[in-house]
Amino acid sequence: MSGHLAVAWGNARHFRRQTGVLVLFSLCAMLLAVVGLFPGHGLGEGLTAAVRPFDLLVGRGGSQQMVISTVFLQDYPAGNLPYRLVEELRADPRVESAVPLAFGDSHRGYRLIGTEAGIFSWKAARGDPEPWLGFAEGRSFSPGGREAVLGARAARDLGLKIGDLVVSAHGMAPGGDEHEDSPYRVTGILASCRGPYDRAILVDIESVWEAHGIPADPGEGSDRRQATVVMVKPAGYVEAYQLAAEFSGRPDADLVFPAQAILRLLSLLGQADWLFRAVGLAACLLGSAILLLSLYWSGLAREREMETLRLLGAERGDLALIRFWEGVIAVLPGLIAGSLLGHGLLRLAAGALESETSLHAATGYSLADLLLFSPPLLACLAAGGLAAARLARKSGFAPPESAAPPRPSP
Amino acid sequence: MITVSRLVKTYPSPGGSPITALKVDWLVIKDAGQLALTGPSGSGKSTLLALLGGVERPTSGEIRWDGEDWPGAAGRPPARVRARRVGFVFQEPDLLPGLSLYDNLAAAAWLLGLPANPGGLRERLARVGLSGREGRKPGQLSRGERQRAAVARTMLYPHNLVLADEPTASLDGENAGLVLDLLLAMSRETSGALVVATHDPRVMERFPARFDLRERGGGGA
Repeated sequence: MSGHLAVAWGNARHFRRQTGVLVLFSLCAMLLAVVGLFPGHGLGEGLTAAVRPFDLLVGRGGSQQMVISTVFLQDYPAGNLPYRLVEELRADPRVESAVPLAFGDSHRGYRLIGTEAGIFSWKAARGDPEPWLGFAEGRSFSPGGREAVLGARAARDLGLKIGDLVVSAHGMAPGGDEHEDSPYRVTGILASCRGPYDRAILVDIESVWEAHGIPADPGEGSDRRQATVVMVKPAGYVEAYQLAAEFSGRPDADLVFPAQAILRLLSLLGQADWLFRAVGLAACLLGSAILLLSLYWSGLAREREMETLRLLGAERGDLALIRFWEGVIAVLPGLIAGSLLGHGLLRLAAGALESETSLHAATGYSLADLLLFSPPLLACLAAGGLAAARLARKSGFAPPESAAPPRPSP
Repeated sequence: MITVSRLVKTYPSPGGSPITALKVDWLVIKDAGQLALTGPSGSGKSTLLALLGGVERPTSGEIRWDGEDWPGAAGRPPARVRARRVGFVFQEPDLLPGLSLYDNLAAAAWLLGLPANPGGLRERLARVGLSGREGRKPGQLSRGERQRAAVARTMLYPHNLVLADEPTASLDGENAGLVLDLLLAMSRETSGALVVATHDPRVMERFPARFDLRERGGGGA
């Protein structure tokens, strides 16, 4: 151990109460800074990642409701669309692909989504090497069959495996009337997509129609087939805006850009996030300023020790380093504990959010954490420098009995 | 040899006219000289020690150490240079409260730039009667023990000059005698000068030379 550190360590241990207060203060300041500064970014990343697979949505109701019910599998959709709209979109040269989603049933609180096997080859973005919903085990449901593919979280939470049976129920809340006579057999379990569709139970849309007495083949009769929303991947940006312009004049369906809805949501969240960040930043900067003053004042109270060190041969740099190490010894454990605790709380909050919505809010350490350590450590450095500079300006020594100003000789 | 001539130290005062803290016409301190500085409180004993120690600059006059200006044109010598040349002992033992006796001596040795020598540090503590108390903190010792530890710290290096400001004033008779014995023996062994500020007649009589600051004349040892 260097001489500076040895002296500083001895002092920090001797002044336990002061050291303890500084540890506690640093812990609180860092905790507040981490909790204030980091969650907004992580939540924003989670929302953005969740919406990435959805280029365009065609459905009913406002954009917020459509996005919340389709992308985040929360709340209830406004209504259904005729299935012929899916066929119409598929026939449109401006559309690269379209997949229907039908909501309305559930299994023990997990949404049952009627769709088509094409969803398993759907890519979140062009150029992605893997599809959005990849299989961890098993296979897709077969067309027209009563088979189900489970999201990773749904399979885990419900304790289901391939070959197990899933009974659907009316409505999206637990307790609805069950279709006991026509259960689904699990044929596949998806790898986690780190988003709300981890909680989905995907079945063939035709089986949903059949469960509700709607023939999959309308034949000559009236076509009662429906979907709740259509995921649309446009051929390009121009085509996307052409479609949007066309749908803005249609009374039977709305087209929304989920990314825009999320941007509006992030903008709203951003205002609250700004407040959190301000509190976090203030905790970091004000905390550092208070640390500086506290260390400086404690240095003033213990100036005699510094004078002793000076008379023993300590240069200004030595004094500054000793005070710096004293500060670091008192502050660093609090900063580390505050950071660990703050990230622990964020992880808990993200876990609770993920458990409720499967929305993955990014947590963890980043370069910004290191930056958060800088102001308090700079405060220690400044306190050391100020104490040494102050002592260097002083002249004479001040042992207790000669501390009073000199009086004139008689 | 240290020679002091026409030394004056004044301090500014809130009233305007500066306060004269010290005025000495001349003073000579030879190598290995042992001098008792006497005078009542406020006569300038501590101020003279500060000037001789190079901790302060005189307002006028000069201090020459082996013919050279002290503390030098720069005003203050580097701390380590001064610490090697001058050792200090105060009325209140100024040990570092957070360190054990051994670590106090180790810290002083480190600041003086001495190589690590645990045996030497223990030997110094044994010399002042503190063997077996190396691990104690200053707060766990009596005042006399603390003062002896401060003397042991001064004994780490053969200083040219040791300045002691009322080193026995707060001690009982036995400890005062021990501390004084140690200081005088150290001066003899290292051939370093010893200047002790005191108003204790029992201390004064142990010194071959005395300088009373009330006389404002000259003196030497």
